[in-house]
Amino acid sequence: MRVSVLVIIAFVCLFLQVVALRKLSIGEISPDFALLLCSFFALYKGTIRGSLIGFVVGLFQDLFNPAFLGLNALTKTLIGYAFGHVGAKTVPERTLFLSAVFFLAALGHDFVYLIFFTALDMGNFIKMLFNVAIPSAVYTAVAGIVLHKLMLFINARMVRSVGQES
Amino acid sequence: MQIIEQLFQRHRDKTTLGLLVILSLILLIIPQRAKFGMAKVALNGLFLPVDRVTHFVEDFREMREENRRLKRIAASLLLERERLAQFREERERLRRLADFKEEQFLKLVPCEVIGRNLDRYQTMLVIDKGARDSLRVRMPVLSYRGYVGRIIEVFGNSSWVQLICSRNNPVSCIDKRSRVVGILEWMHHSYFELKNVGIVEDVAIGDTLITSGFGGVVPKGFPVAVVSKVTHAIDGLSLRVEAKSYIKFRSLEEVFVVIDEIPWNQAIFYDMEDSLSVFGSARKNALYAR
Repeated sequence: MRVSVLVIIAFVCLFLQVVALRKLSIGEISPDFALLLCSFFALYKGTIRGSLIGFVVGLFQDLFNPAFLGLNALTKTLIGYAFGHVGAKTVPERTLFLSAVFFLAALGHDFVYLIFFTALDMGNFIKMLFNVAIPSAVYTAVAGIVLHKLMLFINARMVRSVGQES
Repeated sequence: MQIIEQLFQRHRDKTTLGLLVILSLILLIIPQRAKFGMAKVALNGLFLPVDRVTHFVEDFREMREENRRLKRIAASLLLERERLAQFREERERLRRLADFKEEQFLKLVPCEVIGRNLDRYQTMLVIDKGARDSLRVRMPVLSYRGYVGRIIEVFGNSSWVQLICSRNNPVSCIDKRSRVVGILEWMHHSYFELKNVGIVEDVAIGDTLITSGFGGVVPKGFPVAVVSKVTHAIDGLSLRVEAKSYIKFRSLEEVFVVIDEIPWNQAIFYDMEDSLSVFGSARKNALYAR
């Protein structure tokens, strides 16, 4: 995967997360484009870049909610690292496999996040896990597949145009 | 230092992960004040202009429709205002007769929401007024439907509002019907729990919880939530009171900051007569003739 394609997708993800997230939300359920951004980098660029991007993106999100500064950074770092390993061992092109991975990543991210966010109040933790985290993970997985297809399309177009020029 | 160097050479990915995790945990455990200070430095002047441009474009589209709607509301409010002005005078006269304390009227600053935290668990807002508009930390923030939170950080032209749908922002409330007092704490989504309510207290489903005014920070009498469930707590001594807020915290666009209190009888109402006086009598007559 070309770095320029990843940069384009990074801008798309950041735009969707910052500007369009409210419009794409269904009640409390919304996709996590920041998570998808660090997942893409980790899948194609390995564990180190994945965890670094995860940390930076998470920290960026945390700046808007300083009461939990470091929480998104921590969870996205872990996701970036885990995705880096997944990307190193497989070729992440199959839709079903990829959607399962995105779903589990979003769920894992929210699981760690909610542990801190609810201060381990089990009642609230379980309610938020079932009412917000799981539906949002499904939404994130669907959004991830769409963005991944877009990424592959842009990459193919770029490769083709470079081939024609040479 | 050598150990870290060796680790970095042998296990580059694991060492990077370890360092980032440690850094994140340090950020998590540092005091709240330092966290806000760091975020303030990073955000101030960087994201605010971008958000303002985005909101300006969105607002422009909605402005015409909103203007039409507001004109209709203004027309009906003008009539209502006349009636209320008479009631106010009568009420003040009766209060003076009964020797009651003079009541205060709130001085509100309308603010626009220009930012919010970016994750899906909404606990903070950024508003477009700050120290230059006389806003201070701890000032209460209201919406059309009631109390929403308080200011926790003030900048020159913006401020951060901590919403009540956050675990670290409980609010003292009173049952509007039975006057039972408790502390309202956020649970999840729009649900809250009224704590410290004894088992013999009278709290029922459908009761409105309003701010108690205790502590002097939040003004008294603003609706916060409606009781949705009342059960006996596990300890057998208290009630577990659940309440639901009807404020949509995720879609707040305008809020009001209470900056001061002024005597009730000195509160200035918008007066059509006053505004028309600048146009002269011909325009005034034309408007009344419609």
